[in-house]
Amino acid sequence: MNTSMIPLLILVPFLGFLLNAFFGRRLGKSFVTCVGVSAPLIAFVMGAALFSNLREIDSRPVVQLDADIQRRVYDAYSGELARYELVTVHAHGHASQRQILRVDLPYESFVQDALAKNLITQAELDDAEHAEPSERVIVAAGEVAPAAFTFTLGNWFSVGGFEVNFAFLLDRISILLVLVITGIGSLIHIYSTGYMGDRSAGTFARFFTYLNLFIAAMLVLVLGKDLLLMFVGWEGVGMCSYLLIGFDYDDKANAACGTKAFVVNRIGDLGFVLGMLCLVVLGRQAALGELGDGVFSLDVDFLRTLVDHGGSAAAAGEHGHGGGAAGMIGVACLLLFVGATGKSAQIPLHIWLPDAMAGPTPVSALIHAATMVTAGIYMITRLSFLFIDAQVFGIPVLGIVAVIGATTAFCAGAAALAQDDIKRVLAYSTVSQLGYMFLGVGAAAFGASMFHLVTHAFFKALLFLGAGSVIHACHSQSMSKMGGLKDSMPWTFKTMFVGAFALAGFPLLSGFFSKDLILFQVLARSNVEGASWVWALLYGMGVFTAALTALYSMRLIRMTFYGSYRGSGHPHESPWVMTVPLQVLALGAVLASLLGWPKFFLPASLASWADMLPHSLHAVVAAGPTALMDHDYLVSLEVTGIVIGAVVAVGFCALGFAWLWSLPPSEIAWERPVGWMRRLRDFLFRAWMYDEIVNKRGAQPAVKQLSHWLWRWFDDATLDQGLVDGMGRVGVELSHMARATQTGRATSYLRMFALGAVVLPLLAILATPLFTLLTAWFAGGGTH
Amino acid sequence: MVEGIPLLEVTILIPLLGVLLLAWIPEDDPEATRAATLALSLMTFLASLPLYFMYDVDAGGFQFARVYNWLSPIGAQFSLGVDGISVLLIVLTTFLVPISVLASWKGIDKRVKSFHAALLLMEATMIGVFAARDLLLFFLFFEVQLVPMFLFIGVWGGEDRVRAALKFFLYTAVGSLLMLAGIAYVYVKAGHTFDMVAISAALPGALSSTEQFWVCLAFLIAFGIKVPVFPVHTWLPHAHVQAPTAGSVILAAVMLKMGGYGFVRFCLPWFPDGLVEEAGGLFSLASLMTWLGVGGVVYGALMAIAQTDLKKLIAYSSISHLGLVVAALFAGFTNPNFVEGGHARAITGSVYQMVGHGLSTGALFFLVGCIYDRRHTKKIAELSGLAKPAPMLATCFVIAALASVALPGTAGFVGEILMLLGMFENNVGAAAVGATGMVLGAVYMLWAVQRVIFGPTEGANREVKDLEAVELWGLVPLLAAIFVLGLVPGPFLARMEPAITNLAALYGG
Repeated sequence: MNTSMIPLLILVPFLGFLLNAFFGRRLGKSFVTCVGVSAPLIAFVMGAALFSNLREIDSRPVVQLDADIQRRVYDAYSGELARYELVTVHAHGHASQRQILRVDLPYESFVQDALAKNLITQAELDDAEHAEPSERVIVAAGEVAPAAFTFTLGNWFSVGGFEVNFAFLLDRISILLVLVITGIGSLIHIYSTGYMGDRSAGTFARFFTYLNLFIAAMLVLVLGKDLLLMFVGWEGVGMCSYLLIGFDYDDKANAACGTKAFVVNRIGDLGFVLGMLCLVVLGRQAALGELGDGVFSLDVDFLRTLVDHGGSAAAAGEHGHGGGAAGMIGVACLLLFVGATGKSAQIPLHIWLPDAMAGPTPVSALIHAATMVTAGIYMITRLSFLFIDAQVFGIPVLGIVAVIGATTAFCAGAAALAQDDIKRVLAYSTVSQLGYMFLGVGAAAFGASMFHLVTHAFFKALLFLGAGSVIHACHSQSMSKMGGLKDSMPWTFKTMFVGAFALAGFPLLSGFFSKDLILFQVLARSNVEGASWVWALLYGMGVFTAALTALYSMRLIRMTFYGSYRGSGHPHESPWVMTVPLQVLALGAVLASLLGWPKFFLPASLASWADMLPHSLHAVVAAGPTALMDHDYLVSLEVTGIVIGAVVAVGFCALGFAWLWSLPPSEIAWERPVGWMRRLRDFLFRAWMYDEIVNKRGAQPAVKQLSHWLWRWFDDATLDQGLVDGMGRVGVELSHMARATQTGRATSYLRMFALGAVVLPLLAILATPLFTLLTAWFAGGGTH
Repeated sequence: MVEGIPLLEVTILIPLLGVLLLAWIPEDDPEATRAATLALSLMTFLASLPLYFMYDVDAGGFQFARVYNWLSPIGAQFSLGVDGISVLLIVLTTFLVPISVLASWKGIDKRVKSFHAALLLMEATMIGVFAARDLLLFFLFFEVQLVPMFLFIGVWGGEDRVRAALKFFLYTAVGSLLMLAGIAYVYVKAGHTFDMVAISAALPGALSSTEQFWVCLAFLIAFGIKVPVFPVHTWLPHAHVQAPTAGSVILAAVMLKMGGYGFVRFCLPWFPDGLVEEAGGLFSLASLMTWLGVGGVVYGALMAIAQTDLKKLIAYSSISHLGLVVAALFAGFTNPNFVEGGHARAITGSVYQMVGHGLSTGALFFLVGCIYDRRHTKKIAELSGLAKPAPMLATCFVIAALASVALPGTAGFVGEILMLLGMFENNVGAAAVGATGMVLGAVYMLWAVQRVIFGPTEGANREVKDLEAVELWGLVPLLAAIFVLGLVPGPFLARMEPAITNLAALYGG
């Protein structure tokens, strides 16, 4: 496998960006379409090729070796190619932690090399290949740990041992994201050619320029092996998001929304940077100490060794019990999580995402639903080994993540129920679903969260694109101006219908399995010792939010597609370039569930399909406390969780039907601007008034007032005009006074002369004794 | 073969002789004056490139060094030489002067010849400041370059130009006076020599820590005014607002860096005890500078938020950015458990950011000049929606703004992350305060972009013409350099490394 395809993967959309940026306007829309759409498509094909390569390597044999052969192999390759790793192994339905030896060589080359070096004989090898897995030691050469490609393009900068490389890592986590970004990205690009089709050539080119740049930046984010390189993508996607939110910049409000998004994201990024700094300091201490080579970095591999050494160092180190390195890791993780709340729109930094809807709808689908906003979940999953045991003042960081996630899921879900703007419903829904993912990550169910990330990418992109199609037809985003569109927009209706039910977690659709897998993991977590009541509460919140999700999904479908049309004009179905992506995504929203059917749902012959995606990640992410629970008990919990999930989803979808379908919207208490529900709805419509109180009436005016006041009264009045100019005025005044002595009258000069004639000789006489006196005094002071 | 060519002298002489050459061009031919100046400054740039490329990284130290007799009775010599830090700043200078010529191609139409003569004189003296190896010679260049800048502001400036020029001159003169006193003291104590290398060898042993404290304070005030550090910054906004575009570009990009360069060249190596000595048991000069620096980051940013004049906003953004540059130089000494590597990283980042800030702020001032040439206003409230009539200008402005907020991939990011990292290793609190500049910078910069570049296009803003070829010739290399330094910082950092390692090692023991 030629791993240099990894940077090429990024280069392709970047080239698309350059071509469109420099020639797009001049060469016209067809050129832009061609370049803009083919860039993510080519990247997708390359990603698929890389994916099949990874799978092919993973299907190669795993060899079981005796402990002493293992040691021989380790000694021979130690440090560079071989290392011991703890992995969670699922055997006979039980999960257990085992140590494996991983050799970073293709199997064939390892065998050749090992035979040549007499590390192993042919007989031993033959034995090994037929051996039953030993219970005590998992001994493996080759790739028991899943395959991963790394590629280092070169050094970015290195200062005094601190190294930053352009290094990329393609493993099971990142390939998943690569496929989502380029796959769903391609569909959204195709859709956009229709959605933006009526714009001028220049605007059209600008749109695809930004969109291609976004894909490139997002790929840097997920492929970056070094945290700092990941941060390049992290800020890069933030920049693209900023440019695309304010895409129609001639409206003041849109530009303001872009600024808001960037600034709020930057607050998170500040956390990210400080978190990285903590890790670098830790790395430096280790590199000068037990790791010993003086070279340190933010490379994921380096951080992993750091954590492995950190535990022992903290126990024995100079900082005392549990402090030092472990405490620093806790602080670092908390700060990195602050970064995640910014990018992934979690409380308290969620306020930018609803406003980000100012951008064109395909942007909302791609950036603000399917890809960029999931970066926080991806980052924590990528660093799961760091987060898993991280604590701040005895509180596990992942616990904080889970609480924030569940709270955000609930609050945003409630807010989604009260919105009128169709895109804002979906925006709050996205915030809510991201909250689920953080809840899962917090419960150390990284696989489940990534599964939900994938299914959510399908159905939320679908819903956004569907909403775009509706907006395109109605020229309005307000649901109170829609209604009855199911006949005039059949494909949009059908696909969005599927999407809404997938979002609601309707049984057998993708959202059902992924959401319930997260909730099941939270439920399981509440059965592990340690703050179990918190997890039980979080589970309750998750289930309650699932009910809200079902309600607002039904409300969206009801308000948009049923009843009679309340807007103006005659809406009609969108062109095929827009509906075909909807159909593909709808298919995905259904079929993505196949990536994670629970085992008990499947016949024994299909057992290998069970929990496919989450399981495939188990070997690359850290295992939580539930991994070692009794298997049968876990299954019973999973069944319970699924049943509860199904009952809630079906029940509340039905309730939504019954409640909303019975009457026209104008007569439903919830939708009317009067009545007893008005206050509650208004409160939720304004999203719990958080943005208004904290941002619009809090931080913004505070900063503006403070800066204005400081400038007016301190910088300008006190410092510049007061002190500086004042000093000048004092000088001028003094010179005026001095000038007054120059009267030009002989008598006054004579008086001065007489005074001088007396004082100066006196001074001359007294100078020497005075000076001696002073020196003596100083010298005396010095000797004390 | 190269040893035979006095490269440094040539780099200084080309612009200096150019001043004479301009005298031959008739007064009524501004185009020829501009073209000649452009050619001369490009020649200077080309002449300075070998300095950079042939600087021997492995050897380190002062190179291309030459000594001529000057004021031998008092031991002052015309002694030149560059190390890895100054060579970078010299190339920055020679790179920016041709760009300044292009920046004033359209804006300057009175006394064109004197303007360009002043610009060339300024270039020669700026190179001199960075190339001088003799303390008195340094002072000479440092003072002489005030004159052309004074004229720039006073003659080609805006409405309130005379007051601004005077304020600029007096402020700097106060600093210079203190520096002169400091130089005299150092001269006497170091054994009657102005040679920087000799002084470095003699100091700090020749001064007690109390002496170091006071002399260092004199230097700190002088260079602090130049940078400028809060609270002696109030000349800068006036000077920038009144200065012509080229003046602002040079001022922000190069002249302010002389302050930082002075810190690195004199204060850090010569007065180590003076910096850490706690005056009255209260605070040391190092912690004073560190906290004034990071305080300036927040303060400058808040001031920038309050501005209604686009140029003043960028001026205050400079104070904010350079606050971090200053703090990074001194933060190491505030840690009782001094981390040498961290100190070196902070200084590296600081010097790198001097260059990075020069490029991004230079570009911003250039663009504000372009806007002013078209709209004859710098008031943010009167500008709106420039992206529609002038997409290229808008694109360049947004790129420069994002570079200014240190987006990864731009030069500012490398500098800023290294500074924050290095500071964090020695003084977590100062690093955390300094890091808030990341957020505040985004607030004022993007808010400005939002109001000026985006928004509805109304009134006279509709008539704004897009960038012309002359302006693009200046801006494109400038923006390209921002990305080159952001993506391939390796060779630049390598040249600085030996000088900075030595500097940090002074305190290591």
